[in-house]
Amino acid sequence: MLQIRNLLAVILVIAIIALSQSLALAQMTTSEKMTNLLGDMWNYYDVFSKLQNDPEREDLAKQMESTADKILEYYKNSQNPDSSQIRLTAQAFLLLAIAEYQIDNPTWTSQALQTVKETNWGVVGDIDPTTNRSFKERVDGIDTVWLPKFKKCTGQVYGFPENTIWGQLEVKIWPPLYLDIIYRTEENFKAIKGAQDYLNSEIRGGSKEITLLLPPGKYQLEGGDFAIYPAQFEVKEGSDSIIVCKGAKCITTVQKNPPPTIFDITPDEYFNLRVFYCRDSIAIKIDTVVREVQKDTLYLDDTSSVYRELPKNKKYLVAEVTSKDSLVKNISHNIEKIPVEPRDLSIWKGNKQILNFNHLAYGVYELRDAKKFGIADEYKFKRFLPEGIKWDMPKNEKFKAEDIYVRSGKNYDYCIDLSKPTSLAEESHKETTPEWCREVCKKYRCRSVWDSIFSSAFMGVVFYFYLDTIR
Amino acid sequence: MIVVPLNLSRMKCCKIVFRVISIMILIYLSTFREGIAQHPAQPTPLDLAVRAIDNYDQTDNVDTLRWALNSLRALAYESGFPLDYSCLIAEAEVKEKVHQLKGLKADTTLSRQAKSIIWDLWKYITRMEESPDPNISSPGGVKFALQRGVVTIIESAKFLDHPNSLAPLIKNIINRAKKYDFVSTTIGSYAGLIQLKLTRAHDFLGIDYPNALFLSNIMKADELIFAYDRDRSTISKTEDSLQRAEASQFAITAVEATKNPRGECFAYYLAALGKEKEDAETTILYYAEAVDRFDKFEDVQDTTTAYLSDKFKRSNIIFDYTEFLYAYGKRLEEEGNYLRYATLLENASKIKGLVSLDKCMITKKLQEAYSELIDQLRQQGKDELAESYQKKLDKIYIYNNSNCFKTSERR
Repeated sequence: MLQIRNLLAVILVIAIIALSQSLALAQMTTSEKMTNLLGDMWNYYDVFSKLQNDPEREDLAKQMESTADKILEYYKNSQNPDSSQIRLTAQAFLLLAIAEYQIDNPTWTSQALQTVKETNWGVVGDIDPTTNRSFKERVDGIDTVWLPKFKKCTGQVYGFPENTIWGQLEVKIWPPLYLDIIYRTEENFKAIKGAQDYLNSEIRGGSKEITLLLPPGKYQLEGGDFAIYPAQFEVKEGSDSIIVCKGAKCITTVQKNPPPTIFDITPDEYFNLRVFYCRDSIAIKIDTVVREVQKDTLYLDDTSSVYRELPKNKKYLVAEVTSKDSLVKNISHNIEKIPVEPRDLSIWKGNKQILNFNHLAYGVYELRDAKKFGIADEYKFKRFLPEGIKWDMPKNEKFKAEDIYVRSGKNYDYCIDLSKPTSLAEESHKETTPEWCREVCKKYRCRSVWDSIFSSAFMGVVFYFYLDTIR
Repeated sequence: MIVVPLNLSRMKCCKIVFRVISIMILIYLSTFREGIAQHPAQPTPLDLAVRAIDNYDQTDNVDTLRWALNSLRALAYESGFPLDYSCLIAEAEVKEKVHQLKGLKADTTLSRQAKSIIWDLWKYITRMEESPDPNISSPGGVKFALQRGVVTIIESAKFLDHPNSLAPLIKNIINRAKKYDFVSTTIGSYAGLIQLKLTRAHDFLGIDYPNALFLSNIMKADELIFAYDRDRSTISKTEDSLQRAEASQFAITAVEATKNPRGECFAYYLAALGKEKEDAETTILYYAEAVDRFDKFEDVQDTTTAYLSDKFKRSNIIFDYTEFLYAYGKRLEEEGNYLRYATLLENASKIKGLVSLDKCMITKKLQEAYSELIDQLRQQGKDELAESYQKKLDKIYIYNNSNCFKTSERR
């Protein structure tokens, strides 16, 4: 028994030693990685001081930002950072702060200096080999003179999707008083651009709290495909503005807006969105949940009930509700689905139905039998449909039956017939009949049966003479 | 009685041996057939996509690249966007953007997009380096990604706006790529070619750091002139002339991109090699510029980089220059253009450090050319002009003959 206990004790000791060794190894590798990254930072900094072209310097600063962020990540992940790791992090952010200062980006400069202060402010005493001056000489001026020119504003981000494609998300900051002299200085423009880049990179990185440094004044936010709230904000002396960015799944705590409504459209069903009881002009943006091409925006008028038809087989959510009037609340409760009967599309040649499309909705159609079709509306905007090519039904336009015809070659052979018009309340489609189709055909000189008989007879005669000459 | 059974046993033995041999043959044949069936060399969809990207490099056919990009995206989607696929997608995307940029003079947006993808590529490679097995060189390995990534970035840089900001990135990736074992790659293979490109990129980057525009252009010119992947004699004449013309363009862009005399010298040399079969006078100009630049840094010649000190040494440039002069001079002689020939040779004879034998030959040729010229002028009745050339000829006799004599005496 004693022997077994001894054996167990020995195994336990060995296990403890192995664990501590492995932890020490992990610590060393993290330091090594951080050292390598700091080497990269010096490399960037060295080139940065050699180059004088602003776009090139901005590109390098971006590289430095991402490398410094990586160092900070390692630093935060190491449970007990040693003195060398603290120093490495501080040095990296010190280099970044100076580089950002040189390209007039106060937001990043402030952030970087803040990190240096939080980790190891002592590194500012180091000598910069590129200038042979201590970092302190440069950093003091930045911290006490330059940065106070800009005012701080904080932002909160809620619910941006994690794997957002970069191209889709770009928040822009515009000064609305564009002609104001304050915005004309190059430094201010660069500061705004820098803050904008920082905001975007932080949103992409999943940050919840963002601090920007901007020249005092009024600003406007523009979110592209995504929504920002409030659209306008002011950066003042001594007071922090709050920016709330509202994304696809964003819930703002400040305005206490309701959560977005998500609803499904099941296959073989059509729905209209109906929004009512709006006191002011309101814009609702509808995005598909799955990142797909199809997006649509509704612009609704005052106190109007507007209907919009949406593609089927998609899942939707109301991504954005913006309004001039803050009284518009609970907008998602005012959105309802109205089932719509499917309509049929058929194509007629003369009084003969040659093609029939059931369930016409916004989607992709393929006209297999068509030679060369085109659809023209009353304004004579022609849309040609090449043979066998998939065609996107126009989304933003609704064609009335009498305005639509299908064109083939030079003569208008075929007519589209919306035989079962939609049940939309505001759309009053006329009932279409083959008679109407014939009228349209006459109007646009369709080929009649006689025309085709004459042409075929003529071709026959020509062929007969041709054979005769060969003999 | 004893013999018969012995004979029988021999017969049996023969039969057994025959059967054994036939069975062995059958087994061999069956294994051979199995072997064929077992190694059909069926490429995977990923291999096909990689091949399509490589095909774009050789043919510049963007359709194959787009096909590769689409199939890679589909494959990546199926397998949950792994890093190696992301690297390949980023590589193909950069190439696609650059292809679009080739047709345009300056498109800032496209250029920014391409740069942003390059940085993404760099991030993917960094993440891959942290993967458990970084030494594999098949698709999926960090070595593979590093090799391809660095070449893509270098080759794209020349089409982007403000490419110099990529210089530290290129240096970084080259340094990281050097950590991996490139020696095992066979020469002539794609990996071997990339290894060659990497070593040369490292050498050229050292000439004028952080000038990525110069690097990108001179790398392309160098690649086209010295045809890394195949023997230049196997290339058709049309392809050769096209490649040389293209190389000359890239080399001259490299000259414009740099202020470093060493860089200018190498670029002028490549430009001269490119122009050789197209425009003789420009070629001579480029050679003269190359020699002139070489004299500026001759004293501080860097011999650390094996490739540059071997390929771009002064004697090589002088040899090619002299060889070209002889060839061109012969043509001028045939055409009867003695005056131009004489001027050329006179200029050439002033080249500092010219090989002594060559100098004597040039002197000899020069004398012949002047004599012919003087005869022609006298026949035409231009005695005064002939007299002035005669004086020049006398000077050459006095000066150069003594030099030739001295050098030959030393030998």
